[in-house]
Amino acid sequence: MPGRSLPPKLYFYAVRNAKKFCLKTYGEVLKSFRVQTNSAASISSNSKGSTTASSNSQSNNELDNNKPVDKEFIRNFSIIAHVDHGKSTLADRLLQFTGTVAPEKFRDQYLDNMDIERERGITIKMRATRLWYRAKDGNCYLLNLIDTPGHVDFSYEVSRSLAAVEGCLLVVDASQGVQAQTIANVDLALENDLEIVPVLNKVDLPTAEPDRVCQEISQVIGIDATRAVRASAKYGIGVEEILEEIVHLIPPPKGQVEAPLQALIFDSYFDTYRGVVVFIRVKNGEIRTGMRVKFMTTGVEHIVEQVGILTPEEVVRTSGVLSCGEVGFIKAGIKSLHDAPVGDTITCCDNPCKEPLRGYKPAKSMVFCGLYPADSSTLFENLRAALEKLSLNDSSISFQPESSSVLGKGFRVGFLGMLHMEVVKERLKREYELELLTSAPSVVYKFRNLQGEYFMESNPSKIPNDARHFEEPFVKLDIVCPDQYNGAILELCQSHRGSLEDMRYVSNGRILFKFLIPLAEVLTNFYDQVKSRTRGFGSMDYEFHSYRPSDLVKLDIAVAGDIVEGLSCVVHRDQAYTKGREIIEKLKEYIPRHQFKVVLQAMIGSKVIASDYIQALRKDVLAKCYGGDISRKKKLLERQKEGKEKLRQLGKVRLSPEAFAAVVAQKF
Amino acid sequence: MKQSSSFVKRLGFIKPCLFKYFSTRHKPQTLFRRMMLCHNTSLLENTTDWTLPKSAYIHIPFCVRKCLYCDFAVVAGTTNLNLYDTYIEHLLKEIETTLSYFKRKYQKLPALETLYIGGGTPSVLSYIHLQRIVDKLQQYVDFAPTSEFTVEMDPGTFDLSKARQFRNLGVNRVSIGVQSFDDNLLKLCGRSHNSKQVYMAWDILRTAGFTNLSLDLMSGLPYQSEEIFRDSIEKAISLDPEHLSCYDLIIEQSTPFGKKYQSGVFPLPSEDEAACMYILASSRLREQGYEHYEISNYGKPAYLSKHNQTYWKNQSYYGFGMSATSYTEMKRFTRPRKLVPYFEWVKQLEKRKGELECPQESLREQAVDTLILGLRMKQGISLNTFTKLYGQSISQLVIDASQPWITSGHMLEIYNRNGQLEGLALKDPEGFLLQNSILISLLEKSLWTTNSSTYPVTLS
Repeated sequence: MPGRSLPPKLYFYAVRNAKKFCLKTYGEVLKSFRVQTNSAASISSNSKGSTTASSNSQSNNELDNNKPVDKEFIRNFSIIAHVDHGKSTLADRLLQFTGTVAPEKFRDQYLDNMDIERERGITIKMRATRLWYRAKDGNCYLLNLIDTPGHVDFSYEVSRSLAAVEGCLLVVDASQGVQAQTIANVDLALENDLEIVPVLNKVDLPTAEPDRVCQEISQVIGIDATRAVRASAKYGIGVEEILEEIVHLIPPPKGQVEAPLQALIFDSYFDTYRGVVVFIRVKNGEIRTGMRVKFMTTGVEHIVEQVGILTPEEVVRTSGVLSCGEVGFIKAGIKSLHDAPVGDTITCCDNPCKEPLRGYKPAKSMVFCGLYPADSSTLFENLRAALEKLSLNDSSISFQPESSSVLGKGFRVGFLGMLHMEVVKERLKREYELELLTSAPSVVYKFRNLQGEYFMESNPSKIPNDARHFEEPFVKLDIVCPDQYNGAILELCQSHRGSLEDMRYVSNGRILFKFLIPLAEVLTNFYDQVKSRTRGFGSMDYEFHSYRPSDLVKLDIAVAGDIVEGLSCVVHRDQAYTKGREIIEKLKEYIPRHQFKVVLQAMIGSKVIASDYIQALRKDVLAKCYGGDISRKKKLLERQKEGKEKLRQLGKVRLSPEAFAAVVAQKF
Repeated sequence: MKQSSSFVKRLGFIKPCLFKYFSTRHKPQTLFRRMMLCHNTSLLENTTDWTLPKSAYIHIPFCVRKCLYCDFAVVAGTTNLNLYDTYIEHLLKEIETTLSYFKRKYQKLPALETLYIGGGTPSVLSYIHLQRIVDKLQQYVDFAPTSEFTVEMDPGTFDLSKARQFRNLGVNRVSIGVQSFDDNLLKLCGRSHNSKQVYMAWDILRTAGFTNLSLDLMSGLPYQSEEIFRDSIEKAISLDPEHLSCYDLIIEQSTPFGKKYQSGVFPLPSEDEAACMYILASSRLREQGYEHYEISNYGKPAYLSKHNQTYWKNQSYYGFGMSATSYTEMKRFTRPRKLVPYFEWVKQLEKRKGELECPQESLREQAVDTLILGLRMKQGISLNTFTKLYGQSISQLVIDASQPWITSGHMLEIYNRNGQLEGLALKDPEGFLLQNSILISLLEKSLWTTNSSTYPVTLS
């Protein structure tokens, strides 16, 4: 009884589609459906649904999620765009238009199901789903959509999803035009030889200038945008045209069913109950349940237990086949994500393919920071467990234990970028209820010691004092902004040690700058500065370029004569004094008075470059204490003591957790 | 008593007032501890009068107006004599109920050595009211021949005849609330008098024959500079009071000052300025021959306040009247802070025949109190007494915890003639100024252990 195991949801979608195509009323379809299911349970109910639906159709693969689809009718695509150009909204419309999601179940940003994603209106994880679309030529097409994140930090996710498709929708905001990430994402798409379908979104806005933006696309990106669909995802304008373009412009998958199995893992996650679930794109051959498969880079072999498709919910395919060109998931009793790394190729053990598919570079952590439990070191194990769980689903997090004299035991965690770091922190806080302290984010520095040996280290406090010949990572920074702000942008980048590499007009009045700039400079509130200096019109994107020598020094901060490890930082020699002053001012503001005078010093090696002091505590006494006051006084002392217990040690001095966080953890 | 006299000899060099402290203090407490240990309440009945209070505090909540920094339980601005009468009626009822309860229980009550009528402004009462209070007390207890009978009096609330009448009732010490000699500051604080009235009041009291006058001053007031404060100190000295209290302003959130000002922020003096004023007062008054015997109190050697020392030595005392706290039979109890609830409470007390419904303080709490209060005094705490009452281990913990403070010059060790460590005290003014921090660090390492339900003393 294969049909019975299909989740009721699926019947429902089938009915929704049926309604769309046959113009039958919803009630009628449901009725006939029920009658049929009841009368003949032995026959696949699903195919019944489709017979009802495709009474006037010539294609027979339509709606049948259970069977492999002829690859001529498959289109795999993803959507790329700059942040906020409307990717997820467009994905929503595609889902709605094709009836993939029932209207009553629909919510905005349907594919973003993490709380943080919905709250911030951003996409963090890519998400795949299949859509059935009856094109104007009368055929039913299976469209596999992979939604991608737009933020620069998650471009790794984008590159993964692009490797699994044949084409992509390039969504460009018709009023904002080509932005920094549009360019970056197009570059990624071109690297993967993808067919790009340009879409001008938000044409409904009064400020929309589709013609100008078309010109920009042609000029900057070099693709013909005259045919670009003018759409408004918000109002559902042009959705059908987009679907038509997908069907006609994006080529069907190439592979061959007869060839040995080759499937690319484009994502995977760990489920506590089901083990590792692997998302794959079958490039050649087909994958079946019961098949013994091999993960080519790790060499691990597993027997496929389940195959299924994404609608976007995971639906197990009872036919047990996922054929060439399709996107779906498999479950094969895999215990660890490391056995099935993203980017790996799956092949069949009996008839293996010769070469693995071209994978992609593993994600490399760019930004590091120390994460420490805020309350006490007893939460260290909880933090470890949380990080381990989190890294199961987010392979781009790297972490290793670290202990700091100031913050106690914690982890040095690597992230893709600042937003990624913020998101991870937020998730740790929300999903694992961990209150965290963060040390200032830093990059990985290269340096030599006196013996001339090379080292790489991201934790400034671990950099020895004899370190020299510093090298730091530089990034290629693209900024696109209206030309009246070019002075502001040039000045900003200059003050952040950036060098201008290229500068050209993308269209009348808008400039693209290309800078080479140290990554460390981009980490702190650089993006906000770009936004504020261009009144919100500027956009930026960056990409690792290379390690380059820099005149860097290690700046130590001594509090009451002791160097406080957590406060050390690596800065450019020219900025050392300013930075030292800044930290000292901050410490002075936050460290409460002690019984002794607290001297604050900023030092390079043993040379003090800035100093200040905090006056000793002078008065901490209750002037009056008579008969009635003793209980009050006791309470006051107990309160004072409770406050004191929460204080954290910074060398010889103690300060409140809030102050501590403000001093040690930088705002970003 | 043999033991205590040898005790006295050992303490030879410490001030005479300590003798009394030791001889009257340690024995009842030891007895009491034994009592508590065997949980035998019948023993309580047979104890001598040592545990019974020899001091009484009476609260008169009425004021002409409420000062802007004051958070005492005060009824300000009323001239309704009926209210005065009602209050006095209830007060007398409370005294009667309580003292008759004690009398029933202990047969003979010890004579009162100190009586303190505070407020509020007790001097707004007529002498008839005061007389009724005194009479009521004397129905149950005698006044010791050398008793100290203090009344708080504010300038502008009494004349010569009232002062004479008070004196005739036995009042022999007057505490006069001056606060400052600067008229602007007095006005700013919402005081009901000016500096001229201070001088007049002073003359009246001297004329009436008072030979033990105490004067209150305040430092750390808004807009008060060190100069203004120095001026007040000098003017106070020129009046030659026998006793001086010098309080650093505490900003309480519930007061108008609390809403208006933030501690340490202009116009209030900064922490450093306030500390300077404190040091100024301490050095100037000591130079003038006053003994800085408690954090905020100075007195000529024979005129230290006996009543207030009862508090700091953690001895028991009666408390009567709205918001007053009493410490009797190891019960520390604070009365309601509003008139009507107080009246209600007095009625309840009558029904219970004078017994307080209040738990006894544990030994641990007593030890904490002794430490907190004792270290307010220049003489500090006596380690002998402390060890006897609360055990060797606690005593040792306190000594150990005080070592860093001794090194840093905030605490003093007091040795007897044989070179034995005899007491611990705070240093004037460094230690006094940081009393809270010091207490916390001492308590943390001794009495405030993590598990507060157990008392880490080996009771043998």
